Amino acid sequence: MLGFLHFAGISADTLSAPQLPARDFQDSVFIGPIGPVDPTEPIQKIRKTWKTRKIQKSAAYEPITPYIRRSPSPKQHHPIDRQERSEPMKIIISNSSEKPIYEQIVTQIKNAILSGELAAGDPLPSLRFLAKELRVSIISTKRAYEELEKEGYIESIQGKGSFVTGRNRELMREEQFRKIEACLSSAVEMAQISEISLRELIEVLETLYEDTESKTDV
Amino acid sequence: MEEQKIKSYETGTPDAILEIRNLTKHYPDFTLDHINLTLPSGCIMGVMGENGAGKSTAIKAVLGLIHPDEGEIKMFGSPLSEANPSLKEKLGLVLDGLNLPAAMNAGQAGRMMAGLYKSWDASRYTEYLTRFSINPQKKIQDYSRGMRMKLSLAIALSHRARLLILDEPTSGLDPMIREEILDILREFILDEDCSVLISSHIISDLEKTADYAAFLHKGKLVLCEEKDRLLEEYRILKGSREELQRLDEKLTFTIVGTRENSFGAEALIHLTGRPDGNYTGFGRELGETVTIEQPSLEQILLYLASERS
Repeated sequence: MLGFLHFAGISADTLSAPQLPARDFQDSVFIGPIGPVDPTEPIQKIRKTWKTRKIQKSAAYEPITPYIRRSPSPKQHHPIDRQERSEPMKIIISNSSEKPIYEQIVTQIKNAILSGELAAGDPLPSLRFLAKELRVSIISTKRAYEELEKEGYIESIQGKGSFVTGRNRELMREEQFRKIEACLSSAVEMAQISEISLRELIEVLETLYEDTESKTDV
Repeated sequence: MEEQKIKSYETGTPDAILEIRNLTKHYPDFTLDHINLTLPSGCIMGVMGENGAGKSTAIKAVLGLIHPDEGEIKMFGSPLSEANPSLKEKLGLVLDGLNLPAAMNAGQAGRMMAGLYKSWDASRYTEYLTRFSINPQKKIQDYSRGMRMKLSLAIALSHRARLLILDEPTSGLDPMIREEILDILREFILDEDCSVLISSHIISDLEKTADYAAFLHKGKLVLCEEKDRLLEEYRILKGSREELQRLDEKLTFTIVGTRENSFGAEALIHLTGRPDGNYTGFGRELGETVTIEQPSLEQILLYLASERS
């Protein structure tokens, strides 16, 4: 039997090898044997132990995910080292949070864009698909996407979907800073009116930061 | 008589699949009073209300089974009075009771439907039967309650309907089946030309799936709003009776109703006064004294109903 295997170009080693490259005439890919292989068994019996996966011929190596594909970006924009393989973006909705559902979606997508997990030009999931998967109303996903578009993070192309804009992340961070500055200046005004010291104000800021970090980031 | 608020967060107004204007019907001991509802395409509207609130009456009027005393109903843009037979092709119904002969089985039902509907999709029907684990040879008289409902649903979904109307589809069913049905409804509206009108008194189901929530009470439409917006605008406050009475002075909200017991009180409040509708952080204004919670849709409707009784 081993002789037959040699003839077929398969050695005992390749029986336990990882995925062999698919050829044009193949419609399934050898993934590997299930369990230990006894090379003295007839090849038909061994074949039954192989795991194969049916493939689309043109998509032999395409990762089968409808989600966002992470495009490589310069290292300095990736604070967290991620794998090359595309992973679906994580969006979690908390029903018990005080934050409206659309806002939770906006925050998480915004964070993904600002952290570089979503790169410029990356497609976003379709409104309806997102609503179905997250089990939320499509009105909330629409609202979230409109909010993101209003703030310049994404753009929607009729008939094609929504995509992350090509705007520089630095620019977006600057915008965030400007908004924070505006909020903080009103806080400072109020503090001065009530004669609250800077130290007390900083304490409040620290507490707020800790509060939001301890909850899930939704 | 509340006007429905459709805030267009939509980019461009979707066409209304169903429009109900001033629907009125008088009965000796009950009146359906000037109901106004609009169901846009691509949405699920949940119509809620207690038994006898008028949900089934309204649906019967929509289906042309009863003649309204006043008002107009438009489906797919044209009035019901001008309806032609092709209308039934676009309408999928799941009503109380499976109106098929008891000795029939699912396979025969499918063949019968093929004769009734021009757009009958037999392969889709078989797919649904498999998905619902319905044996095509089993007679309907041997079906459980859940299976009857699933067969109705399978039929309703197999002739390329654009509007699905369900009247109390989930009452009496276990939570697993209910979740299955909700999943199917969510799949159904992946196509933005399709809509669902579902009436139920199991509010928790509608809370999970609906885009719009309409509440009928004693024949009147108490409210009809985007479900998520509704949940954003209400809060439950809990504290002692005195604490809640003191809060009356602040006017950034209105108190809808209260409930008291020997150990404290609770109130449903409707947040108002913020033009952008952003009420996150509302709690900080009240301080530490009262407990603030997000209400469920059921709680909101219970308060609204008791307030109006």
